[in-house]
Amino acid sequence: MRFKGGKDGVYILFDESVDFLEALDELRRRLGVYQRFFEGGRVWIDTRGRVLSPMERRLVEEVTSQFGMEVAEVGHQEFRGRRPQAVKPLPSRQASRHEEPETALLVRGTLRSGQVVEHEGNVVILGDLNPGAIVRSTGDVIVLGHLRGVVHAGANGNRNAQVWALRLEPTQLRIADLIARSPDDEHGPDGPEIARIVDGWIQVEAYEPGAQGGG
Amino acid sequence: MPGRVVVITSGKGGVGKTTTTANLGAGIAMEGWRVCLVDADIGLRNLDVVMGLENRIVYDLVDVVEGRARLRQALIHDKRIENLYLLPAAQTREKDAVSPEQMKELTAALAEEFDYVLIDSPAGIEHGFRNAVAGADEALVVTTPEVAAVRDADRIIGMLEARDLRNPRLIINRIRTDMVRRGDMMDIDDIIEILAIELLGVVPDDEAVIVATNRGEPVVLQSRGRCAEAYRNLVDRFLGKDVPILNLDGQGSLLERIRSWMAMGRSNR
Repeated sequence: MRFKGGKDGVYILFDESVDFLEALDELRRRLGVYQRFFEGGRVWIDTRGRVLSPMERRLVEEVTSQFGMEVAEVGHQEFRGRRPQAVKPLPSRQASRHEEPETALLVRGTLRSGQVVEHEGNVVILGDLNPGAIVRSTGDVIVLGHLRGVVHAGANGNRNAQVWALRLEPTQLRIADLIARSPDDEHGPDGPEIARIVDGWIQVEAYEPGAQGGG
Repeated sequence: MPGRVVVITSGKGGVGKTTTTANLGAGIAMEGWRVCLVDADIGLRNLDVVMGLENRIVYDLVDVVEGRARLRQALIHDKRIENLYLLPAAQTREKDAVSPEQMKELTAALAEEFDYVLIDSPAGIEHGFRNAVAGADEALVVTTPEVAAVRDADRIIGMLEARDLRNPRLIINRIRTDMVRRGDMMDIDDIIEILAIELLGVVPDDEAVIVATNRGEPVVLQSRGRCAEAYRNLVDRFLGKDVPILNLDGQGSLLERIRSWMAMGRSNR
């Protein structure tokens, strides 16, 4: 684990080869040593390719707040102008046209009720999105699993944002300033679907490889 | 005159607080009163699911308390019943997102608009419970005929009384008359003897409740069935109508059963 001081806080790199809980312990130890120095400061945490689950993230925030520090950002890639190491942005042919957000956040595993993922840019979920879970992103949201929770794509007003899911049965779907909910008793098709805004309405259509997207 | 704020609580989890709140609220609204259900179980909300309103949530209780939404915006109108509204809990926050003082303010504001404000309390006796009872004028305690549930109900009654919520009334949920008859289950008298509070009503253990709950339709909306009857009886007694507690004993004499049907008929006008 490495520490780097910055103008307005500290930048912490987690060692990716270390177990999360060990890394957390080390963070606690290091912050303890430098407690006075860091107090009241802001901290950027780079997990170097590891995506923190909401629970892990909360643990990190708990530790830093113990030392009077505010977490500015916990990320899975290096901030501050370094080259992203994690997921590359989707080829623009497939994602929505717009001022393309730079990165995608990759979430490994299922998001359960009460868990929230918020991200500036696109979000890809390798798992299900259960009812009661929420994803908010300024870009597209792609769920490689069963989307049963709430997704807000284009949350900053981007009406070109899209939501993709292998099974699209959301509790509620929001794109930019629009809200839609699933019909009460209909079940959608078993295949992948895409939701997007067409003529001022959120519309859902089956995904046909090659037919969709901004290209 | 402001409405009545009623907290539905139990101490123990899983005894049917949420189902009771949903059915009691729907039943009262069907009688023409303006009702608002409040889910105080922040972080583990359920009332919206039981009411079948989950997919209509945009703002929740915490959004209102933290000023992101006005109260009116967060209220969800139940389209099946004219006078019924729900204020959902937040799922992504924890109990300490709201303070008892804020709950007091919130329920007071709701009581200006509604005749009855029913608060679905979380299980437990901690922060969530304190929030749920903060603004309440009266309390209903739900228990099942199990020793552990009755023990917790007793504890809760003590805590309610310590908070000046005097004379809480009891709802005994999921009673099985066949088991009571065999002596395998505590009967109503056993429970009343321990808890020594006024009995508001008794609801039988019935698959219909599970089916209806899973569908998001309060069972009280059904025109027939002993559970719907039991909840309507509960509603009538809650609203102060002079009706006896429903006789659940299917083996009761024909005369008794007819009498209870007539009581039901009267209360339905």
